[in-house]
Amino acid sequence: MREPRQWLIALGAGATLAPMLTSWSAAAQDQPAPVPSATGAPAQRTIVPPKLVTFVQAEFPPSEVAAGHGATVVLQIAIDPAGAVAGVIVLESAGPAFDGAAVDAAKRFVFEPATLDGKPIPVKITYRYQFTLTQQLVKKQLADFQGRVLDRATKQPIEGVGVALDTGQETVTDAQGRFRILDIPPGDHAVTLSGETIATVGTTETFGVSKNVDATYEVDRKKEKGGSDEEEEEVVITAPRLKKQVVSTEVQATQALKVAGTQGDVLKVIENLPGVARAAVGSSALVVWGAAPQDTRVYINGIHVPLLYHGGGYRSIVPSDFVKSVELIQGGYGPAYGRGLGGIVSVMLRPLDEEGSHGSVGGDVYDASADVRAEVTKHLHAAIGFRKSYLDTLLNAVSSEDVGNYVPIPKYWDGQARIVYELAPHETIELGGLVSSDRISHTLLNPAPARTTRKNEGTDFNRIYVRYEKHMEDGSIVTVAPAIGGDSTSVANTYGSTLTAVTNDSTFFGLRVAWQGPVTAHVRGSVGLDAEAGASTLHRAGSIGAPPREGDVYVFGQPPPGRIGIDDWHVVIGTFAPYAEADVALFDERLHLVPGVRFEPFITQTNKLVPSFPGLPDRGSTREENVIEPRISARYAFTPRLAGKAAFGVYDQAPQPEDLSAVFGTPTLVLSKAEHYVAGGILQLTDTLSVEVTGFLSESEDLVVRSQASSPYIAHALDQTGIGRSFGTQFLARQEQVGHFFGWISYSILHSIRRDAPNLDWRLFDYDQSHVFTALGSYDLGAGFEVSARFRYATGYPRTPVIGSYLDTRTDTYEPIFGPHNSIRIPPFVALDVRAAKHFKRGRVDGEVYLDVQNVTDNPNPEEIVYNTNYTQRGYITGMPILPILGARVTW
Amino acid sequence: MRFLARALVVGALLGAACKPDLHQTVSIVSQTQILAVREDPGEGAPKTDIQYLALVADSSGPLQTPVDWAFCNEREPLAELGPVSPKCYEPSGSWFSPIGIGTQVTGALPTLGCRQFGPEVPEPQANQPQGRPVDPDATGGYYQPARALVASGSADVIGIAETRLTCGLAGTPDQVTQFAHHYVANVNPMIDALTAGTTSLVTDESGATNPVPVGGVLSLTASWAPCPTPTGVCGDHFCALDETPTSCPDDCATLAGCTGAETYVNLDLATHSLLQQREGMQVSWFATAGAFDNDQTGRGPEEMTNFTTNGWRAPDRPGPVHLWAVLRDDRGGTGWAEYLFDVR
Repeated sequence: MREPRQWLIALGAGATLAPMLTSWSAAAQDQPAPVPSATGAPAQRTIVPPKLVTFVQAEFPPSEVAAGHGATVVLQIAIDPAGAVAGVIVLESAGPAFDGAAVDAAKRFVFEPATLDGKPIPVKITYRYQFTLTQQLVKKQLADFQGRVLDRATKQPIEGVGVALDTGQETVTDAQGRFRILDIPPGDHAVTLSGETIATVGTTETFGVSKNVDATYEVDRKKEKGGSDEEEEEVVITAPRLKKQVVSTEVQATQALKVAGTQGDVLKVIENLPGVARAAVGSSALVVWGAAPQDTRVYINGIHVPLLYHGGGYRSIVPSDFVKSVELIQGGYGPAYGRGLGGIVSVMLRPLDEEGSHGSVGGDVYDASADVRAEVTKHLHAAIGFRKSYLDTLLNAVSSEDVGNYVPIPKYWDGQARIVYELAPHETIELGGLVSSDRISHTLLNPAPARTTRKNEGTDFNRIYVRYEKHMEDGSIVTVAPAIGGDSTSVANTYGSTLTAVTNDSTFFGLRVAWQGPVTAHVRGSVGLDAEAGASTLHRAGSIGAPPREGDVYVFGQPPPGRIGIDDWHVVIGTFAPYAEADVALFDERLHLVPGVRFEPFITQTNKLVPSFPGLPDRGSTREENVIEPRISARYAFTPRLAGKAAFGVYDQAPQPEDLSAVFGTPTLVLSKAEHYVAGGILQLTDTLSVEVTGFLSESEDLVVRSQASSPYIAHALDQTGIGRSFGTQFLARQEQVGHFFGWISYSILHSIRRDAPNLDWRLFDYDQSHVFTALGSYDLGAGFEVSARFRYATGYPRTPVIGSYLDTRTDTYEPIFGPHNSIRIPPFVALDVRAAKHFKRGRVDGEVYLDVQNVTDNPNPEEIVYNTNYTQRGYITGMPILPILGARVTW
Repeated sequence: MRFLARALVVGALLGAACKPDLHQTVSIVSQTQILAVREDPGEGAPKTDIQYLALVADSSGPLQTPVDWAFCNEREPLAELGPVSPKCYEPSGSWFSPIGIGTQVTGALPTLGCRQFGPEVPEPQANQPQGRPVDPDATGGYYQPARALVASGSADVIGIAETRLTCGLAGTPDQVTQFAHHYVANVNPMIDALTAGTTSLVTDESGATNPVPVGGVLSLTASWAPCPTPTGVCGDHFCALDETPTSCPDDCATLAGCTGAETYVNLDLATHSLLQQREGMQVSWFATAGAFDNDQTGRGPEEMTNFTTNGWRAPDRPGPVHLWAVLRDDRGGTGWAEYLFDVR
């Protein structure tokens, strides 16, 4: 298939310069002697002429244009057995200018060598190179098109990709992934990339008069086939994904799997990305750009889910084999997303397009997982996965003590199921489900029952979704994705007889409808509808101060306040947000201006405006808040390798249902708001090495804080007098896969502060981390061995010092006397993690055994400040000691 | 192999995080320290005279040191997670109402106690709205804070006493009436006896000492009075919610408290109904030397036993040692007994 296309290239170019292979002859002096046949007679020799595979167009000599005529130069080209041009001689001259241009071009020709009985031989051919003035004049009105095709995951060039225009012109990428098509009529032309190793993709490019369009396409390779190679590939035409976010970091699962310290969990790579605070050990909090954990929203295939990690942060909620990529958008994102003041984590699941059946089984000390993906019919694919922790069972087996009484043992499981049906070429519908469950139980017995603590926490969620996706011939994409599910959280902690109980059972509804595609030659558009609703039934009992909120002044391990309340309430929060965005390309695509807007009415319904009282009916309220959120971003390519970027956006977030209690919160809370300002630049040092610097500022207001009053109005325990400010710079130097190595260095310096009321001073945000540095790399040693390492440094979280204590004589408990709010920090975290893996392959089965060693230097990293009973001594709870995790994984 | 497996598994836990080795014991008195405060009576309505008695000691034994007492009338902000307003442990301020100076003083509970610290609608504060009453604790109690300040060297020793207020009930009229007929104000608990094994120890009040060998280990048992336990039958010495002075005069004609674990009436916030629940008891152990197995021991409300045990190891040096057992009930009542040991 390759040969005709390459001759077609030559003929296509010949339309301009009319090159013709006029004759060929074997050079007598280099010709091998005839080979006798078995009968003794000279054998009939089979000679195959050379074939031109790379044609180079000669420039029409400018000095000859004025003469008003063209010319023909007859050349003799010597071709060596490798197909390279060994020499060029002018047989018929057309003048020095034409001769020189023709010879220069011919020297760069590449041929498939001529063969004699199958063996390459050197030959000389006669080649007529014709310069036509008319064609030359036409060419001045034409455009050229060149570029590269790279593997999106590895950034490696892909050879053999067909690049075709709707003009009929086409070519094939070389070993460096490069292509070039000349003399393209001005205007918009559809470009199609196709090949055996990639799914067919299409886009539209605009060709200006006498302009040179230089493009780099990153495409996904098709999955390796488990079945017959002879079966026809599925062909899906997709538009190239718009790089809409000014600041985002995307990691392919193939890389994330290899990062040290993540135990092969793709989604745990998030904490290594710029702008993300390091979560304390045992915490699953995701703090992005100094925003509160609940301000950053997580999406899986566009469906909002309440969490990314199981309790304690040991494991993510989706097995790595299901994940294609994870993208963190730290801020300044477009109008397709909203409802959060922080960032966005977008997890894309792996496409189900493999033939045959595949799957994996893996496990380590925490849990085991298994998944299967199968091609049910040619148009129907299915996948199912399951994971369950067994740490608690393992502990019981190896320990005679009930360790769970002393150490919180996470118990979790998750499951996934997907069915994808191809309705028609380029049109699929997917039915999927996600379920996740977490439990943590912990009891600290005390000889004084009033001091015994018990902790029981649970988190469950499930999602069922349908995702319809259609890729149009013009490169546009239509997506419709309704989803339904349930979220459930429960906390039941006791300190003596003081109970802290919180439960929230919610039903989730979601709908995302989106269209994106070309609008005009210079504008791509995106419009959609992002709707969500949640109906929550909540119960809370215990102290208003437990569990603590961000901004509370307390110390780790401090008993909860003894005063208790109780409330049961219902909340419905619904939003229905249409949005639109345009990507306007200006100045020959050097400037991309992406304005957008999101209109979002928030409807909040609560069933109680004041606490319940026996005999009196509850009175609720319904209110609507309409917000218009402008978003805009811009990218400007100063050079092909240097680009600047900026973004601005307005974001709103509904109050948490937990905060709308008439006893523990304020039922009339309104939206919190934030504005993101982003500016930065990216320098592509090489094709695979880039440096990106981004400055950001996030200003938030109407943040929900505790009432500072000692006797606030009834049902006003929370105020919205809080304001916040986060600003800083993040730096990312990233080396994509080059040879055997990939890695990156990320560094964030930021300052996140809050002011809870106008009469209070600014304070550090509880999750503020001034400096977060991560350097990681992975190297493939060959023979199935690979090693990776990760170094991390992070400033400790702020804490409020204890400067004294007093005795609460009623309970015989020492209570802390605090110094200035958040005026000290936990010492910095420093750790080096190392991972070594060995891969095995037996037929269709790939095996991996890995040893992931966290904190190899056994650095006693402080994770939290603790005090002794009467607060006369301070110490630190230290984190993980050197911790080897051995795991294994088998895939087929 | 089992050890290795255990090490790997346990190491994989969050609990692999190590706690620092801090000095956690407060039961051995090494410097001036407020060990307890007893309010007598153990519960009272605003304006009730309350006698405050502080148990102050240092390494030499009990101290008869001046204690500066003052009611703290500052309501606690909602944003404060401690038991009282931070102003209550400041040296002085307009929010204090002095009670007196001495180990033992008497003062009348502030008039506005139930508004400031109870279920009644509070007095508006400066620049603040009038609104939310205080939430009760798990026993239905509200407390008037009182500060006890002991000057000691470079730093004052501060104790915050919380006197249980009789404020009524935030319930329906019927519940308020029923509550008033059945609720018995808290009575301070008392140590009935302290034994070491089978030997009853004599209190310091008797002037006698309790001999103990150097380094001797005693198994101490502190007990308190057994209180009437409701059985649902008239004549059980407990006036149950379904009993009245008319239906069961034996139990309900006179309501009396008990110096042990009392059963009392409380409003269940979940069901908005009255219920009867029992106090838990806790003993805090103190000594001027030696070492206790535990700083506190006790019994939960569901435990019907009226004693608790603790181990104490006498010091390795001979000499007198003071030991205190401070008994507290869930409603804030306090009582103690002091024992003098002759370690020889």
